[in-house]
Amino acid sequence: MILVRDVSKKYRGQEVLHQLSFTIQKGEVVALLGPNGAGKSTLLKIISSYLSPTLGSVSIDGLDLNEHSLELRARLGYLPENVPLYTEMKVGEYLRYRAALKRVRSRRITEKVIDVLDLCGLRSHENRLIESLSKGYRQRVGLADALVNEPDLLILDEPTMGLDPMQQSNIQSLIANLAKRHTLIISTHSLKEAETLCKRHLILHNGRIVASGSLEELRNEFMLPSANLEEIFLLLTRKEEH
Amino acid sequence: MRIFWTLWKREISTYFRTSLAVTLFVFVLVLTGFNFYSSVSFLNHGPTQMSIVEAFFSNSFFWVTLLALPPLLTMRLYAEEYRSGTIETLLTAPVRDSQVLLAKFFGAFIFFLLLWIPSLFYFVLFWPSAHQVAAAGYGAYCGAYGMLLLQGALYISIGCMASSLTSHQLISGIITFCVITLFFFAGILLPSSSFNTILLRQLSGFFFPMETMKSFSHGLVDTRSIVFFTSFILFFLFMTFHIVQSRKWRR
Repeated sequence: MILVRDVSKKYRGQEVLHQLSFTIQKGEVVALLGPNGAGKSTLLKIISSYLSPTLGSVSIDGLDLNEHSLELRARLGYLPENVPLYTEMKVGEYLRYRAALKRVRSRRITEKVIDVLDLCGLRSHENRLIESLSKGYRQRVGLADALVNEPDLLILDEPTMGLDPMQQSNIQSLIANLAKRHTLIISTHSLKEAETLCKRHLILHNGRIVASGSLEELRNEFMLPSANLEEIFLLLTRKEEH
Repeated sequence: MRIFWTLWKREISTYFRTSLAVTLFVFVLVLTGFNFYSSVSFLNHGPTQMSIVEAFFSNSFFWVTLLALPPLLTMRLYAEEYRSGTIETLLTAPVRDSQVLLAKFFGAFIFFLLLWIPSLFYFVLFWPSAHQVAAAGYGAYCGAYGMLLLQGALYISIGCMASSLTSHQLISGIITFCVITLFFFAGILLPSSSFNTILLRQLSGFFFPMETMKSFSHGLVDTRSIVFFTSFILFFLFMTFHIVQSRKWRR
């Protein structure tokens, strides 16, 4: 279980996140929604332990992220926005390097790399340089990297951003497959994607959580029985802006 | 240790993945070749107390090579990770910041060392061609190369720190070059300035690059110099560690 308690983040005097508190149960698939600058990526960077919160704490399965950072990092998979990769490396070589860094046992590295190559449809690209891959395939390499240590928690920051519809559909079906086995947090601008893939939605605006729950719960809360996620999202963000 | 080894292998292999390694080897070979030729020509002018090793390590070609290499080797270390965003995947893996830092430092340092190995062959070849030993004893070789490595390590640690400050490789290279050049020229300019004091004169013997190299290549090893350079290497690595750590508090 992930417990985010009163997390605030200030940057150059400006509050990017304001006292966020929520929990995510094991096996849950949660969408993090919000307009640009809402604080989604900052929140994911805090949960992945790349950034420290100015105030508050994050714990995973009862272990504080600050105190047990190494142990917890070994159990999570993180795909940052823009999928940063060492483009001068070959796909298989990169994944073997990442597996070693993520403390996968030496004798299991080859087996794990083959597993994620198969899972992400990269087997035929194993010996290709990452720089020669299309954006969609780079996204797959990023996903394979996030999965190579068999993480309990998977954090994906805008995994389908900038992809063509075909590539989006491929990545979405891959994520849907992963959602069966992992606790997943996905930040996305695609409300359709969130509606299809996620059971729970956290809507952020100006660093605050303005709504949280399943689509059904959100419909009931805002008394919009036939609204889809997009309508609820637009209603909430417009209301906040006024 | 396994994590450090994995990181270090990637760091050092990065030099060989591009044309940088070949370019730098050619650059060093050309400059050290000129240096050796110019040192031999200098000794041919007339009798002198200097050995070829001393002449080689005090030649301006040597100092140009030594001062130009560290910025080129270190400018990408952190700056490129920041620019491409790979720092995020690197530091969210279960690795310590100190392991990353040491892997980067030793990656650059070992490559620096590899670049200087061919220069040893000049001295090996000197004896059969000139029928003269290159230095009075092994102490001179050990001293000269020991000081070269110490100064190289210091300049690389400065480069690590500069690279951790920015996401622009060029800016990182310029900062490194400015700091090490300042350090180098301080040894030349301060003793002749109005700040010239007895203390400064005493310090210059084990503190300034040219003075220390002169005595080490003569075979006179001063432990104060070793302590001084080692302390500064540790200081700059410590600073780099804290600069990288401070990213957690930024956005």
